[in-house]
Amino acid sequence: MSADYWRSTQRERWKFTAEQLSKLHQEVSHNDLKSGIDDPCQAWDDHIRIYIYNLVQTLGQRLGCRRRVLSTAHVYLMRIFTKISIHEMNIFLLVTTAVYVAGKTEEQPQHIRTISNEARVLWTDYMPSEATLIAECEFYMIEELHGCLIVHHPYRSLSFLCESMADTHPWLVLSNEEFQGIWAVINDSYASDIPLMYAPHIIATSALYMTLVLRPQLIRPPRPPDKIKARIDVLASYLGKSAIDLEKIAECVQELVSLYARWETYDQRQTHLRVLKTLSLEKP
Amino acid sequence: MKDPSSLTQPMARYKARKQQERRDPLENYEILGYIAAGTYGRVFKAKSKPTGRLCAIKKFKLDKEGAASYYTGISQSAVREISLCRELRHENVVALIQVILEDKSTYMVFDYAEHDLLQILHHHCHPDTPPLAHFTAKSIVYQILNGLDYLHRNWVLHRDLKPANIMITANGVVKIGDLGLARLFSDPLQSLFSGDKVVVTIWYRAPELLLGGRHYTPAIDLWAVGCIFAEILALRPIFKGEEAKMDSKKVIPFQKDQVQKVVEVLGTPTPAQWPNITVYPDYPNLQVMNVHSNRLEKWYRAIGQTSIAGLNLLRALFDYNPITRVSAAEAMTHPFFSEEPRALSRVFGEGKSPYPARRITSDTNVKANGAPKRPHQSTTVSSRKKSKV
Repeated sequence: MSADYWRSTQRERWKFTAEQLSKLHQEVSHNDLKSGIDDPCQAWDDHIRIYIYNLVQTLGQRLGCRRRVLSTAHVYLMRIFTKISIHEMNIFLLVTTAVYVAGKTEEQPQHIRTISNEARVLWTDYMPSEATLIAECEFYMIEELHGCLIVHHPYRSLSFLCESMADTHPWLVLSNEEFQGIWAVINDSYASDIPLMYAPHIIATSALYMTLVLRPQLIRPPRPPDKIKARIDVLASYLGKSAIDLEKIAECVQELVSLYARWETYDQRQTHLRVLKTLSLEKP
Repeated sequence: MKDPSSLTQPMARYKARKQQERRDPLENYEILGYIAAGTYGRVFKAKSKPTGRLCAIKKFKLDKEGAASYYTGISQSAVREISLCRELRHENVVALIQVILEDKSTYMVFDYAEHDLLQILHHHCHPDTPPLAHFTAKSIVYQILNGLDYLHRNWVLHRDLKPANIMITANGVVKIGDLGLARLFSDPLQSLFSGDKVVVTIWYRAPELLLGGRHYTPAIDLWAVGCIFAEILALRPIFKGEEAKMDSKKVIPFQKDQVQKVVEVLGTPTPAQWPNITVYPDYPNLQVMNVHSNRLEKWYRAIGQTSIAGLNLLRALFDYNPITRVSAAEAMTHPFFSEEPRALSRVFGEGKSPYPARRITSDTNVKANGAPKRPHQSTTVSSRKKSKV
């Protein structure tokens, strides 16, 4: 069902546990080993994940893509990298193709030439010049994804959650800054495998928890500090009474916290050099 | 320094691995023959070699003819149909078995359906065939509504319902097919209008679209069901208008003849019946046309129908006002379906299908890109075609 996450291919075919994911990534690097790539600094890791996230963001901003198009593109790439290695394809081409396909799925198509040209402007030295290569890559991408292109994102869950909270208690009405903060945490989650591991409503609720409870100092308190504690209690009781799986939220919050920790140590320049090395490997 | 092959052969390593792993997935199917050419491609009848299951393989047309030598992007409608069919599972919606991307072409493998509604209606046009059984007619309408209700509950608009897109299996189960124009309406980033200009075969087009409306709602599919219901009863399209073609300035024309055909039966709509009618861009064009009164009941009696409940259901489906038009879920609970004969889960009843099997031609070259010859068409089909052009 397309509007129903519970019966979606996203839940039934493309949801993984952390163990399953690490096993898939191991298999991919095992394939690399078989084809003679044994430099550990070439391996897939969280920094390359962030690097790819940034590539999508950069291209998306240049093309003026809507947020949901980019989020869908991120998910395609995360799924693809559970099956193929960064050495097997030029990742600049792969990123460009993901944005191209996501635009079609989200009914915001852009012409293949436009996307190709803009990617070439951004990545002159790394991006193939022929637009037909994007079309060919699209082919392989849809096949690797088994045609499962519709992706459910946490944004709709967030809107639903906000309404429900506002109906429950006046203290649970979110300020605009808070809403923007949660939205930003959701966007950040696409720099990790979180969207492959958790249901959209779990991610939305975790982002909400992060924003209201763990990072409230980033947001100017709308009420005196003693009220903040009281408000968190109301929130905790709201979440406790909801049917949402609190254990999953705890896990997901933990994943978000470690994502931000990784981001602290992320070195764009160094990762860029590593990625360029993947391009320079000898082709068979 | 970078290796230029990453630019000229950016997928070399991937392709090399794939080459070792892959077999031609089409080899799993025995192509039995060619069925038809649709708007978006050609359809073949096939049999799965491992399971013996019958399938319909739809091969998408390449965007440009003769483009087979290089990759062109996969069309928006193919992406739409693939992605929606992947998520949808319902007894009355055609089931997608597999998507195959091979030789620069896109194939979708569906469960095979022996009949389609258009073929069944044609069959009854022959003077020596017995009339379409009442319970069959009712069961078909009910199952269309059931499939449509599922689509609408999942925020999918079909947008191109017509007899040719209503498949019926040999054991009598309706399968709504051809989701190439279907769209999600839950949260479209673009208005549903801006995507494509041509939507819904004109005979089945809802009045709000005929008057230039741009707001797509599930109600447009219910209007089409009304037209299909009427066609099942009358064995001919109820509103058989001539399509006004787009002129050289690409101005979307007012479909005067189609509107004419509708108002001749349903009467000229008034703001009392349909309060928002005055805001539609083509309302002024309607105002200058001759005024007609509603003669749907006369039409209904003239084709030999007697059920008042059936007439009321038709009226509810042909409600001019899209806001008050009956929904698929409401229509399924209509008194028409609780009076005898009852709708059945097998539209032909317990017996076998009384209809001849689908005609196929011997063309089995699924990989060729030229258009093969059309299958032989009966006289009713060709006369119908002629009247449409």
